[in-house]
Amino acid sequence: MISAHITIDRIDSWEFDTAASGSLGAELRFNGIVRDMEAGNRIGALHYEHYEGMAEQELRRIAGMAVERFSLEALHCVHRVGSIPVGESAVVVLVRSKHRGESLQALAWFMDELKQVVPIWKVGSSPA
Amino acid sequence: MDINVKCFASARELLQRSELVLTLADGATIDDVERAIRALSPELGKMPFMLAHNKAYPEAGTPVREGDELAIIPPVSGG
Repeated sequence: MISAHITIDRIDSWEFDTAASGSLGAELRFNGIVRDMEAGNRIGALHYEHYEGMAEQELRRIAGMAVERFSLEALHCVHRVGSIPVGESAVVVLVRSKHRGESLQALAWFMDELKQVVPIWKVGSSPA
Repeated sequence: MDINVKCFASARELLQRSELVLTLADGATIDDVERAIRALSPELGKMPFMLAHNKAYPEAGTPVREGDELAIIPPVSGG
């Protein structure tokens, strides 16, 4: 099962629509958080833009690839865009698998892919 | 034929517009689109970017048609 969303809303406590599964042995949740330093400068927020339609489609595509490649039960992802204050999440990923190894590997792979192909850009920042 | 190309992030800053129109010969491919974009300025000639074709990454040699949605995708930085 996969899902992918782009939103301008706060996502820190995003609740994914997950179904119970008796075969589930591991669940890994990752929050990628905006830090207070960017390119050596102290900031208050980062600004993200995305290619509407394609960003969501690419997230969904690589989520599907991860599920296939690592035999996952599920991968859900939400990416926030617009202005994101320091300390708030830019991306949240939930990975579920039978064993922890698959989820740990899949998360690393998924985030690397996301940073290569999903058309989302940091386009500036606001001062602290 | 005229092809509309969306420009994002650093490509938009460089071109100072969010969309441009390229005039290409009928039968043009995605490779012709890239060549035409790179010819627009020396900076674009050197800039790393991918192209999107109808909101997906195309294979080399993919034909383009009037009305298709093209976009310049500079190096992404999500996450």
